[in-house]
Amino acid sequence: MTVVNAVLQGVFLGAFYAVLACGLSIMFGVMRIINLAHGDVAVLGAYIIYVIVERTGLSAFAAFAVALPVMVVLGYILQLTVLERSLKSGILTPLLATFGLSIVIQNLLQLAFSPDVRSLGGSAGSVTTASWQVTSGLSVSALGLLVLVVAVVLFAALQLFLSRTRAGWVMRATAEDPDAAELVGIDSRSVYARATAIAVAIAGLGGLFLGIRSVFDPVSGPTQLIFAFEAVVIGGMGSLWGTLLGGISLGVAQTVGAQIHPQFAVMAGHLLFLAVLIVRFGGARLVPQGARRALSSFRTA
Amino acid sequence: MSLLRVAALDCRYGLFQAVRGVSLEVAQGETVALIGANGAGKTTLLRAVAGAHRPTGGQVWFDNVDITRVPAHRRVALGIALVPEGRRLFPSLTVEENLRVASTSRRGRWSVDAVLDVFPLLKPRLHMPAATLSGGEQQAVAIGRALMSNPRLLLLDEVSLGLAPVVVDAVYRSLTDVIREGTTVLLVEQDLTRALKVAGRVICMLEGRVVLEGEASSLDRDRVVGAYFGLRRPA
Repeated sequence: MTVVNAVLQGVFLGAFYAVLACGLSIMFGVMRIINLAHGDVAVLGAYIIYVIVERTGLSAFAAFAVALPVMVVLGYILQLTVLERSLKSGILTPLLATFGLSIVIQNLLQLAFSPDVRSLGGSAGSVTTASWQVTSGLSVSALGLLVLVVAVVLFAALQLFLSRTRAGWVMRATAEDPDAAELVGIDSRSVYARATAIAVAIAGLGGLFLGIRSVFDPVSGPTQLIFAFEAVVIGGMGSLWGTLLGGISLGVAQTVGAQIHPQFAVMAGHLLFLAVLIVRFGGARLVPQGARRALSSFRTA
Repeated sequence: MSLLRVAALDCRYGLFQAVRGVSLEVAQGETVALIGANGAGKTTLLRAVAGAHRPTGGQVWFDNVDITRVPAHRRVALGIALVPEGRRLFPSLTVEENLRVASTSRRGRWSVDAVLDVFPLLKPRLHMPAATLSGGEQQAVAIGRALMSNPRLLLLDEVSLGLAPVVVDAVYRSLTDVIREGTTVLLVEQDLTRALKVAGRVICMLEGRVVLEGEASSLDRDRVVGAYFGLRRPA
């Protein structure tokens, strides 16, 4: 039963990773940019929500609704001021630019908020503590379930947007061939700006969950980025459902790993990430046949 | 009055100059074929007219407006559509989605249904990803996609490339319908016979320059072949 419980908690944890990874996946999928500041953008979102909570006394969820348009505007500004210019000069420049942006965000947050840890847990109401005891060894927390439901709804909504709406087709067309997209009248600049705005807004959602689940400080971003990045890679770069599955796989690997030894949790996630990389990029001969088949199922997911 | 006027256009790829001081005019309702050997600068010229290649010198005028600095996506809104070399469909989008992403605010007769009337072979393929289509079907989608913006000037770059002769015949039959509608067409074609048959006027390029220009009916094949290969340069 402890293993079943570990897997269940892993699914909840993984859904959180998937929300963090979602924006990263969108930006990579549409613009082939790996946004190294993504974790810091999520933490920035958490601070914006925190400030709104402190100033107005709203609950964290209501504060998120207020912060959402702010995040969308920040996304547009990020695209138009930093990413669009760096995109023009090859694949390395966006990496360097977002790496620099990551440092800038961390230091500005240090300056404004000091290195103290903060949390949104206290302002999120009873959802942080409520849980249901299914059997003696199995409990479902309200927060875990909430994050899972939100993650599934988010990915389903994005999938519907991309497959059913004209704006979604335009985004996919631009991702597949920006040059040809321009030739059919699509302004790739505005498509890119929209994609970044969506990605930053979802990073804000990740920041909300981060702040409610645990604590954050100005330098929490890079850790979030690593988990988000691993989720994207495990699920297959640029694949949306893959990112959700990748996040959940990472979460399960971590919680099951923690059953083996508490200090093994994060390492188990990294090992899964490495195993997927080895299988995907040619090292498959080193892996036994059965394991290879199990892992390559992630590729098609 | 000419719909398209290209004046002393220069295009470069780094140090290589692909188009050298080309000037040409295309009148409203005309069908003009651009011919020439590989590397003559035909594709680059079309891409510069469509806005996909930024020229280093000269101007492009469309409907008496200088559009040299107008980006490609806004030229589509003005009424210029390019069917690019190699078709360049969006592979994961279905045929219908490929067509509908290209619809603009420009009004006109073209819609998904109108495209299907001209290319009936696409009807059973409407909901399939473009990547799964045959070469001929993909070319039909590429032309249909360009038509969706209701262009006044349609630029066609080697629509027969890589297609079986039967399929090329079918594509050109459909194109004739489009031309009869009054759309102005500037097309690049390697097949001389076909170019002379479909076009009212022929422009031959060699090494980035226009070397021969004339009514298709007035040009004899030998002169065109000479200009094509640079054997005899007309004064």
